[in-house]
Amino acid sequence: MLPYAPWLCWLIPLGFAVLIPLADKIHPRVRDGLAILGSFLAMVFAASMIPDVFAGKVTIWPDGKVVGEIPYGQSVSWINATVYVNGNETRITLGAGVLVDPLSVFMANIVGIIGFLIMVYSLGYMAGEPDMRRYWFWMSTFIGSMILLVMADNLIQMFVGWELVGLCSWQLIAFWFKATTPSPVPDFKTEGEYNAHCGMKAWIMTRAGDICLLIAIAAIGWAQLKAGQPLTFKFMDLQESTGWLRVLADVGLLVPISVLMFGGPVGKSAQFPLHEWLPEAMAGPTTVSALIHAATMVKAGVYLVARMVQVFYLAGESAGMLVALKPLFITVAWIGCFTAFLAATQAMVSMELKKVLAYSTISQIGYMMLGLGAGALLLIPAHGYVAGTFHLMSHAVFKALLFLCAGSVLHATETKYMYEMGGLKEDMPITYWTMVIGAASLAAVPGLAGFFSKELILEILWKEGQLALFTLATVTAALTAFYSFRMIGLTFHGPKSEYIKKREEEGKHVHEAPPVMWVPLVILAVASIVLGWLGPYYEAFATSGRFWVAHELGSEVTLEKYAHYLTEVFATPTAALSLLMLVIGIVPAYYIYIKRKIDPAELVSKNVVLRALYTFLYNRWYINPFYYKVFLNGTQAFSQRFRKLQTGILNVNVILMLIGFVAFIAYLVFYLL
Amino acid sequence: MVPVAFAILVFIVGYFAEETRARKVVDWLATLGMFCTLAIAIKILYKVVFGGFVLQFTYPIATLSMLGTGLKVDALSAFMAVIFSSIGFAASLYSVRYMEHDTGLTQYYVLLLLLVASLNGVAYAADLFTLFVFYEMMGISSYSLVAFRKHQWEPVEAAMKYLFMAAIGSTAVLLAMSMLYGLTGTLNFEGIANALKNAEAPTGYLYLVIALLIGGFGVKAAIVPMHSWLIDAHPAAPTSISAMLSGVVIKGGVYALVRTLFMFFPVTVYHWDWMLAVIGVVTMTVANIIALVQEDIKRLLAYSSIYNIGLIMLGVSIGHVSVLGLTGAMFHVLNHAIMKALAFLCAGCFLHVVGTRMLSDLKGVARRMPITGTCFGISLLALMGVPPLNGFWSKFWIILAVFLLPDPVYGGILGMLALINVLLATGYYAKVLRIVWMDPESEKVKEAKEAPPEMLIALIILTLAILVIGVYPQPFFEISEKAAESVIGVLG
Amino acid sequence: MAIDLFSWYIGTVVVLYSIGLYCLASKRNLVKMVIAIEILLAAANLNFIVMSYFMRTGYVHTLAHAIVIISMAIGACVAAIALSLVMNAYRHYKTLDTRKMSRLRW
Repeated sequence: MLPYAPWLCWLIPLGFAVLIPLADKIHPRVRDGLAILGSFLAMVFAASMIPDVFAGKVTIWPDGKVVGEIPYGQSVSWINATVYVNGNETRITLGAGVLVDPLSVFMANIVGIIGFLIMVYSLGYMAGEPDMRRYWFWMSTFIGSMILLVMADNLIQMFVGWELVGLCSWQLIAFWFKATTPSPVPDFKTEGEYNAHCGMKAWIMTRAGDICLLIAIAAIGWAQLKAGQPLTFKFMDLQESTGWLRVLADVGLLVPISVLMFGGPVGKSAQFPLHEWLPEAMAGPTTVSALIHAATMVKAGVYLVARMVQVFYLAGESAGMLVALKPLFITVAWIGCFTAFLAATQAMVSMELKKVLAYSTISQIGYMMLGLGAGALLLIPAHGYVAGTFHLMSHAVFKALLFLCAGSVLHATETKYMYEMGGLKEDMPITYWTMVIGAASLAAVPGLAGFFSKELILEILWKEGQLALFTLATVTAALTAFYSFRMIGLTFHGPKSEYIKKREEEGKHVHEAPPVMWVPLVILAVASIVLGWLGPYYEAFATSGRFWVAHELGSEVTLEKYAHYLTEVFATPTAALSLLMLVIGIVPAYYIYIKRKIDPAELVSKNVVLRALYTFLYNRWYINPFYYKVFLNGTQAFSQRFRKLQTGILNVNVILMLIGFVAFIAYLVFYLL
Repeated sequence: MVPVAFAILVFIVGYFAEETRARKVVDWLATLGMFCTLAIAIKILYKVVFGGFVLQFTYPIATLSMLGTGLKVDALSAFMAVIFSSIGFAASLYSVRYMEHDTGLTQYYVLLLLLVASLNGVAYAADLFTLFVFYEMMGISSYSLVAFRKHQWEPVEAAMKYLFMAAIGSTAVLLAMSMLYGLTGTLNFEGIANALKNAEAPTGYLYLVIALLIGGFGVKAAIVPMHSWLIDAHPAAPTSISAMLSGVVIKGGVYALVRTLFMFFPVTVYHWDWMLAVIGVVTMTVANIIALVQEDIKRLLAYSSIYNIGLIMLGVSIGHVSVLGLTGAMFHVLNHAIMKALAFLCAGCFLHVVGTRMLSDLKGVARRMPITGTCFGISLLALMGVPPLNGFWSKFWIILAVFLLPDPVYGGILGMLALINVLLATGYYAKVLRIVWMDPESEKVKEAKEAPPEMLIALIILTLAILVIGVYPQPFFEISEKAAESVIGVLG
Repeated sequence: MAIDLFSWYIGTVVVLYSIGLYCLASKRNLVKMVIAIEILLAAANLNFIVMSYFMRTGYVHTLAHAIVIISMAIGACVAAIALSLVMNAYRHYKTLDTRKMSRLRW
């Protein structure tokens, strides 16, 4: 790696973010250049760590000095605190550190590379927008803090990055708060207000998850103290020591605490029951949706699950307590699987292009969680880990691609509703074809990235006979295929909508995006074709290092092994089944939305069951209204009533105070007795 | 000697200020006085923490020498004095422009200096009587300052409520003092502590004393249900005074509570820990629930002060089991003073420029005043507990300490309640941020311009403090740790 | 006999304090509330003297005297500020009724 690469890859974007407002004073071009340069350097530094992971040892690049093996950690002291428990002194040392291992390098590179591509795309997409200073500032901060999150070697430092990316997400979702166009939702006057609301919703919902995460972190600390271990939050120390796990199991808190630990990822990765913020997050600019709400930030949860499943699994294995951890892995798998299904059903009826993509993101992250949970459940975590993170990578690529394509379409048509598009195929050929590749990858058409990775997840479920999970996951695959092609059909096929025709009469023809926008599209499209075929290499990468027993392929990939791998992938019954599901999904989508043979509106209005189903799905299973009613309006109404207690009359204040005094005395007298 | 010296300095400055009639002279002189106070306080802190230096002052008068030492400085009091003086400095720097349209500025600065002097006196006091005298002096100057704009109805009403409630608290403290005096024959902290240590089983009187002390000091510290003065007094006072009240005056109450409870009543005998923990949680919850629907920006910040007091109380309540809790609480006292003072001062800038405190009229104001808006945003994010800012660390340590308690049920339930409150608080802070930054501009802010530079200097100093403590908390955390240890006496 | 006297004194303190608190909680008139505060203060001060008496019967320590005198001075300051506030309040509200003075609430 380059010298200090694990530090510089996040320090540089963060530092550049601070410089951006200053650079703006010089010239807007300097500012743009600085932002792009920051993300470029982050990418270079992150990429420079890849060879080390393959080699299994860390070599500093120019002088070729070997400084350590993978996993390689560096840490400096940050905060020291003393805890006294029952007279025993324990020192907590919180270090600021980095951990170079396959998982962190892999995530850092996804963030670095996709981040850089999207920054370049932003040059075109956001050209001429006001407030670009703010945009670049938050984007750079985001890239920096996201890499900080994945490179951190302890839970606390990771939490710092975790909160920071949430903050960036809030600010970027609400980026267009000045928009004065009418709001898409009747509750708000302007679109700007709606955007600001969406950002806040994302922030508060993800923070609800973060609180669960903090509880779990603190509880792990408690267990360590109880076990008489030195207090540490480092991943490596946690997975090597077992005392804390035993203590948690002894008091019966192991499963609750570990499930709470996954509350954080549930919030950040928009899994059920905290998934409701992600569809609204689409109010932000498309670049933001692509980077934060598809490719990277929502994967932070998957990253943490991968990390913690590893920690729990390895610690549990050496403590001989894997059976006790089973409910945890089942919970993760079921949450993932159910979310995948839930979101896929909602995506089938969504009207907005970006919301379809948002639902599909939720659904695909569900698959990743399923892979991670199921893998650990079946006591072959390496499989699940490889499958989950592989799907993470391919999803990051094809979903970023889909979002950027959607961005081009939105840029050209200036509407987000799919029924206001249609027939754009001829006008935007590059966007069309790249988007078809993305959608096919999402639908898991064989030969594309999404197919290979999803196949791995299904295969695990099949092999170990988790039939309920397997059935749900396979049905979801059919739904995925259906909504992917519905999206393509509605957007690009069929006759042009009234809205587009009207625009054309006004002389605003739909046009292909400028090169600065379509070049990243092509790169990502090529990547989503190639990536799937690199599966064995990915497995070699992910299993290097000493966390996991090497997968059967080992770290050397030969041609023979490669052929074997492919036949294994294609020859399993799951492959046939998922092909069947693909057909079941695509055929109706083809007839209804691409050929426009059947009118969906007519179909729904004729059939009572379908209509009820449609309403149910369109209202998002009534989960969202329920949350609003209970958590927003309920609290507000309660507060409104509660504040009446503050009468402002001096006598009443004095009486309340006296009640306080009496209560204090009563309490102490109670103790005396 | 040094505390007395600077108390005298403050008086001299005050006196001098009264003599001079040139307006700006008074302002800058007062600010200079504050700066000297701050410098001396920092020097004392440095000496006490790193030099192991104990400063004592004995009354020269024969009668009062019965009290033993009058003033004594240990790490905790030096630490608190630095907080008090620094916020005082920021407030007085800010007042130079903020109060320029008011009359009677001489009285204002004298009172402000007196307030800081008496706060420092409270921190340095070594016996209950000295503490009481300074405590009352602090009360008197703050009542007057709240009612400073007496030609308006609001400050008068607020000061009225403040005065009556605080006076009841003071008499409760006095009653408790007299009982302690009767039981031990002295009012000196160490004397009382020694006498109580030798006493046998706790008597009913002592429980009454604890209740009266918690209640009495709790009025100033604004614990629920003694909080109702705060939400009226803080918004009504001039903003610099709101910053003082929220930032430090309520901490005076907390300090007195910590000092007396920890010194006199070992918790293993007197079991006030549960009570303080319940008070803390109730305080947080009540404040947060009401704060969710506030329409007035300063009133909302006042409720959030009560919430933070609850958090500090929670940290204090577990101080006997783990130093970490008290350390976190002390660290939060420091951080909250900075954050809340900054938030109030920024709100004051909005008020100064726009002329209203209602959130509905302040929509989009931060866009018109970007520097103030940025400082306000940072202070609210810090209050929300976003990591690389200082508020996160102190909240984190308090909550971690609560969870680390040996009893998982007790610690777990308290910690979860505290975290739920953190979430509730996120709701209203985020709402305020959305309103001032993102909502479409209201009619009143259309003409708004950036605040004058003298005010911005105070804001920027505090903002930098938030960032520095947030990114590298270690030195500040260490000092809070020393302060907490000095009162618990683990290392002493 | 001395013990009897002591309990009488303590009883007086308790009664005085209770009267003050009752007055604060129930009276609407601000001037009456100021008087109530003074009663509370008197009770506390009296307690000092009583406690001193308790320590050594028939003799009040000078410290207690000093403290009581200083605390009375402080009480006078508070009362002065309270009365000036009452006056100002009367100017704004044209009444001394605390229940009318509840414009700041919620």
